[in-house]
Amino acid sequence: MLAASPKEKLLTGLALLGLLGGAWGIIEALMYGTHATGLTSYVPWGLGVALYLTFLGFSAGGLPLALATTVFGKHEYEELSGLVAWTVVVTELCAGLAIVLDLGHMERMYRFMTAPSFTSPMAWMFVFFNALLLVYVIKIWALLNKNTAMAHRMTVLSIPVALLFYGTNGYIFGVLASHPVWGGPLIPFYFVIAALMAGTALMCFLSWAFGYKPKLTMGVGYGVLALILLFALLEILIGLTGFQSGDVDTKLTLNAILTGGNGMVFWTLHVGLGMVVPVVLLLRHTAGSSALASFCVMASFLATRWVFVIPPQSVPPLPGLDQAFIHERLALTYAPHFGEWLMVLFVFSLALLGFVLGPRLLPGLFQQGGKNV
Amino acid sequence: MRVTLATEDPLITMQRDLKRALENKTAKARWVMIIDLAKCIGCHACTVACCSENALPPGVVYRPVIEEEVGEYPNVSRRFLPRPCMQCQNPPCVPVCPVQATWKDDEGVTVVDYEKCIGCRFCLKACPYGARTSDFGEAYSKNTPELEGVLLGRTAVEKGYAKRTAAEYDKEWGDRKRNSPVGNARKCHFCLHRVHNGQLPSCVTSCVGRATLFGDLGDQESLVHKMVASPRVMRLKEHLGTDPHVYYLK
Repeated sequence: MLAASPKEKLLTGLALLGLLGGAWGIIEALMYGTHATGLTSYVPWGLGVALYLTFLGFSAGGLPLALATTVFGKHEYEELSGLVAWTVVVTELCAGLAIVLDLGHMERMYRFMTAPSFTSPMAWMFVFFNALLLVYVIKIWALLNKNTAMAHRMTVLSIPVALLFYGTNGYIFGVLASHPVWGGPLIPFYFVIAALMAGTALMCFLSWAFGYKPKLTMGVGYGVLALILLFALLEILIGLTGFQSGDVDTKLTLNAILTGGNGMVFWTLHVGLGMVVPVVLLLRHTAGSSALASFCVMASFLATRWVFVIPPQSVPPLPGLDQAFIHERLALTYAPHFGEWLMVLFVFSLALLGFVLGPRLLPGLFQQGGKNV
Repeated sequence: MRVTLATEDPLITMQRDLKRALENKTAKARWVMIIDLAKCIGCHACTVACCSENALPPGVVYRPVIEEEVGEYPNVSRRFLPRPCMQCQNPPCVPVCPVQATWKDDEGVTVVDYEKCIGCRFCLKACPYGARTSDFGEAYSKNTPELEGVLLGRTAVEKGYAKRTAAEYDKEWGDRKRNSPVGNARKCHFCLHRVHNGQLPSCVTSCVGRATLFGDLGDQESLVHKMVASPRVMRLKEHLGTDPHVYYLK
């Protein structure tokens, strides 16, 4: 086994430090469940859901690359296959950890298998989550055993499974017809694009970090650019239709996203760091700037999920409901507890450790080694 | 033939209706609630009675009363809107449950199986009326100091609330700790445990203004059957197609 480089040691150390620091968040969730969170009955989905959706997005990098290689014949990107497969598995496991810890009774997860209700988008999410994970685990096995036919079959199969998986996550929000901004047929599509944007950005950054050809990094970077622009267009359309629809609750919800404390997150982190800065960097047409731009998208993606998940819940389903019975668990405001932030630290550290250890555990997947890592 | 006086207390009428509905073996009851907003005085007795009946912990409420101030000074008044679960005919909260932990029973009441619920809170978001709350495991005894040998203190408080068993769904739920219903979605169930034993829901019996009526809509002799034909009847968010079983009289 190769000796670890100083950068590798530093990243491993950081990951282990993060795991150690964030461990309390996990212990707290296991011991006290949702009691340890700042969630309320009117804001029942918080940082745990945002974190899940963040890693869900990161796991989507496999889809555009599968499309590029199989549908559009861009075979040069097949070089990234191993990296992509490893990334999907690591990020899906991180997403799974985040959402399992968010359940009130995680010990009853088995009911997804023994008593699923297929009228629920969440049951389908469980099915496609595991299906995608299985596809990529088999693909890793095929790549390591030089079984190119099987690897190709898995790549082809991953396309519909991934589309269904990411679409299903949007479907969870889309079926909430009475919920302003969330409900509606556009949201599943919005989710697929958001996931593609984050997943492609992660792939762009990792292709640079692992020292793949600059041309590949730049090519993936152009994909990131296109997806950022498409995502921005969708957000503008959602905003404009919402404001002009005349629906009071939708306007209140959009105002909650665009103004106040959440407005700061929206404009500085999501729009500024997550869209404007990356677009400027991507227009410089270098591998380094593409990687940096992608890093900005990744770094701000938790904020992107936050502004989609949290502020829309600040509008009461019935006016005055939050004032009818006063208690902190019946409030329309949500501030994550320290333990929830520690859980975020743990999950991100786990992902970092996965990427640092990847080339050591399965060197066959990473063709060129971690040059820039 | 029974003679019903015009001045008979609606509670007596409803109690008689309930007895008849329970004795009817040919058809299942279709429980509905009617709330006369003109009679509601905003005393919150129904909220308190519900919390007491179901031993609800802090932060869990089945029947809050929404207060609204209308008009401009000096011509102002207050309106009150009690909001139990609407027991919708087409409940949006049911199909979203991924593990079949909630359903509409054959009496038209949407129920939750606490031992099946995984606590994903999807149903909380799906309800257009905000009628579901999550039990985060709060306790009235939190931060209460122990005072040994007296009637006050943590032990006394826990005996009264935290360790008191709720009778929901005709079952003993025992010590809370992290056991269900802690971690579950909870909601109004029309006090089915009372109804099955011939008692009206606690919000109905506690209403000092007799503003809340309850009964079997399928029984043409029942008070609710007569009242539901009133031109004052309205339901919340009818445009959503949920077909609520809670009617309001404007």
